[in-house]
Amino acid sequence: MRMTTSDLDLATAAAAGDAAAFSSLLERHYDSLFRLAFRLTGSKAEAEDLTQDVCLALPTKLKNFSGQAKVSTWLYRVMVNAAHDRRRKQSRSAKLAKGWGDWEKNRASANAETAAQIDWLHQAMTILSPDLRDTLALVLDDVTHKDAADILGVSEGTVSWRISKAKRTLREAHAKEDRI
Amino acid sequence: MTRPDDDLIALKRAFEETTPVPQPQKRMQDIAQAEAVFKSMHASAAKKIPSRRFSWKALGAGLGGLTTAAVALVLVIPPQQQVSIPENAVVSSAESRAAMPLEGASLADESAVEELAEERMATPQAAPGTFATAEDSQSLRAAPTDQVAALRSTLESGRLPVAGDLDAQRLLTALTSDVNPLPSARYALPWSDDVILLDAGAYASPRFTLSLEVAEEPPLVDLKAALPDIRMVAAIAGFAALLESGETDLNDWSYADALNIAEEVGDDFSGSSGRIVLELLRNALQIATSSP
Repeated sequence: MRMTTSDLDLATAAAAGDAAAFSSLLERHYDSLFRLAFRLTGSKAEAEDLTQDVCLALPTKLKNFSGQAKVSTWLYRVMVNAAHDRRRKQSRSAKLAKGWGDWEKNRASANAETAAQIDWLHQAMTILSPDLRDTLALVLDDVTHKDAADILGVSEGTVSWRISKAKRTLREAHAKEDRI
Repeated sequence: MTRPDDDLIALKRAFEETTPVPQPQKRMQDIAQAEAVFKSMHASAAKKIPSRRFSWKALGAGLGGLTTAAVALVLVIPPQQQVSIPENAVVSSAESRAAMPLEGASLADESAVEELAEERMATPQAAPGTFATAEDSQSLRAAPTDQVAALRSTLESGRLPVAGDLDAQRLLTALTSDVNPLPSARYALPWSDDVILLDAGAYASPRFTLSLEVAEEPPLVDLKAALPDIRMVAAIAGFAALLESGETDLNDWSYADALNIAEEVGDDFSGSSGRIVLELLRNALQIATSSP
């Protein structure tokens, strides 16, 4: 029965204290939250921590859910904010900037073709700024530019500009590679 | 590894193939913990949430987004009533004229337009107090044959002239500091020094557009097709040029034109600095069109 209930109904019920609705909502969106967390950080361990943090924060966050945005958009915004918060904490605690991903760890456990994919993905993501990376992570997850704008708190035009900038940066990097 | 032409498709594919799935045990554990927190929270409103709760102090602090941050002293609207280059025009050069269509062609590519706009948006402004007054600008316009000499004199005295049209053949389009000079193809210098050090310590690198047949001159930015951010920046830049000039219109550019462009993209900037720009433009237009 719950499977046919809309996200909005679940979120509204959960915000009103319905534990079953909360569980269903989390079951439904856990995987996509984890996937986004991985794409924002490039690290499985980081993604697991981040997803756990978001799950634990959701009961409190739900109090502020107004229903104005789609539930999935709202959840992604919570995740993106959590990722930003985590980055800030990491930089404040003077850890060395690790960039994007635990590339070597992933690569070691992958087969040759996947390892090549990881190589390229790591190379591509590390040349992009965090803003461009976050925007790409959303858009490549089939989030519309409008929703990505809502999640990131920028205008739709800024999202389009960032995607265009990311494309251009990647293209320039490839052109540079080809010249070498 | 063979890489498809479209980087984003390749990136998406790479993500799909390398994104791990959550471990079932971890998944169950996370959900169970969250449920426990949820129940605990709703069991007693006064009960504290466990210590792993986030501190969301910074929530929203970085979300405002700088949708339109830069105001460049660049007038992107090309002059429309220019028909030929006079024989004695100091700023004209055969190479530059020959190169102009090439630049126009390259600008047809959206990314080139964005690059150019970005380059101009990044242009820092000269130090305050270095600009000449509107009266200086008027005097420059009053004697077309001596305009270049007058402009040079103004610059050499350590002041910047006002951006805007100087005569039918020349439009002073940008006054920049010493970084990111504008493409030389479209602009010619009336003197050999590329950059001039002003008394105030800033560098000036003035450029003139060259005159062209209207039909031959492609717009620097196709505003109808440009992204909202670029259109808003164009409106702001045009607004700045009008304010600098002290005029109610510059040839074919007025407060109404700036307002029209800003209003077309206003929805994209509601709740941000764009709203303030719209308000300023409306006020400016009202003042400019009201009877003295």
